[in-house]
Amino acid sequence: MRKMLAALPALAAAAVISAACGDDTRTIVEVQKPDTVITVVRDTIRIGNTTVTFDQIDRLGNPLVSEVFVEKREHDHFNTSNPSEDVAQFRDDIAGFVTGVAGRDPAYANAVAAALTPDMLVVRLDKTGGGPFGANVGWLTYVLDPANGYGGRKLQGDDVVDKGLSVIFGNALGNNNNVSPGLVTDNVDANDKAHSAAFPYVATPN
Amino acid sequence: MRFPRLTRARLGVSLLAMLAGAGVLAVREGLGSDHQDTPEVELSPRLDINDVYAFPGADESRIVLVMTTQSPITPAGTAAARFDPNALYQIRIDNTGDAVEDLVLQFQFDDVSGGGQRVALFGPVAPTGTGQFSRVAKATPDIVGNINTVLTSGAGATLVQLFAGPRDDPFYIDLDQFFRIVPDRRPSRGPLSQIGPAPEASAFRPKCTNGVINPGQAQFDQTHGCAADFLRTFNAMAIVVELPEALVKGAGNNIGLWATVSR
Repeated sequence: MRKMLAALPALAAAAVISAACGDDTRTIVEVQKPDTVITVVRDTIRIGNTTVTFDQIDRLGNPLVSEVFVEKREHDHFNTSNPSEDVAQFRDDIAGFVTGVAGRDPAYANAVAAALTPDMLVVRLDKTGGGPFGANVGWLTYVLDPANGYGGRKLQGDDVVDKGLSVIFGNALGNNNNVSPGLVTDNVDANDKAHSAAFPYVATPN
Repeated sequence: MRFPRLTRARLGVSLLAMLAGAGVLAVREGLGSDHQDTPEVELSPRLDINDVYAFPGADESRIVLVMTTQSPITPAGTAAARFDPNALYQIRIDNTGDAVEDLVLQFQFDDVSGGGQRVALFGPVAPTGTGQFSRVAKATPDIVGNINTVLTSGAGATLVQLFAGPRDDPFYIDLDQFFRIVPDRRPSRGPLSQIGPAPEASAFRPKCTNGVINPGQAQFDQTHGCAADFLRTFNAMAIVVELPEALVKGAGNNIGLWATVSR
């Protein structure tokens, strides 16, 4: 019997059911393998269908926040929650990382956690950035340069890894207590390709 | 940070194997600012958000919003890379300071015959609802057209530009060393998953010139080779929008941005 099934035209689509739902289609394909039948449901959702409900599975605002500060087991929780919940749910995780892993004092850790929650990339539209790669543009510039910082995050000249590391392990915010000199930079200072000063800005693919 | 293990040689071999050819599955083993941060998005890379950028556009009255997804894509796999036609990609904007979205830019994709794909932009528009569950906010896209093409609507003070397609992944990091220091964050599959579980380093790797460690690098890890950008030569699927600031600004001057993917 196993042989017979295996000899069937490979991984055949045993059943295809299409159900109309607006212009969307749902295709149910039963894939036969020697020992099992796997049912695969494929939805095709029409552009502009306002009746379909989508369920959030990934979220990102600031670079590195969920990746670095939030424990791996909490990542699903983080990804399905919203910025308005961050202060209550994740500020302690961030502060805990800064005290527990980096060994910094609690007051400093709380200041870092406060700057990163809610997890949104902040842009100050009244500030003059100075162009796509302008000096006032960049991650956390609204914290590091309150008078002029545009905030946001630029493609070039914005080493967010080093900025994050120097906040966590160094004295970027003026705290010299228990800094870790070997952890304030990853020694990778720039992207492997230059970006464009014109739309769509991001370097062409490799 | 704590970190992991995997010799440079082993990683090099794995990367060479991936670059040489090939396999789409073999490609999904890296990570960036937020690359592959849960098993679910590791297994569905089209749904994985990597980074968000925001900066001034052609002049100071315009703003550019960028969302990258799906990195790392190898050069060999780039021509075939597509967005998920059944997902809703969004950039959400809070312009009232309560960390709840007031406006959204929504992106949908559909496959067209011949292997192509179209992108549709809806917004900026007030969302149908806020939070975890989303719907497309309007039936007619503001811009629709082929991916890998610069699309526009309006002109002058109303010009909106849209691009969706493969680009270099702009993120850079010495990721393998990062995981040696913080092994908890490593992905669950691929070569980087072999690091840890105990931390294997307590400092980053030194900067080198022609393979020789530069002077003055004593504070860095001397035992795992030289610092290197894990994401060099890898690509991402990027969505780039440039639009007038007036379309996203609220009563105040500040906005908060985040990207989501939903299905």
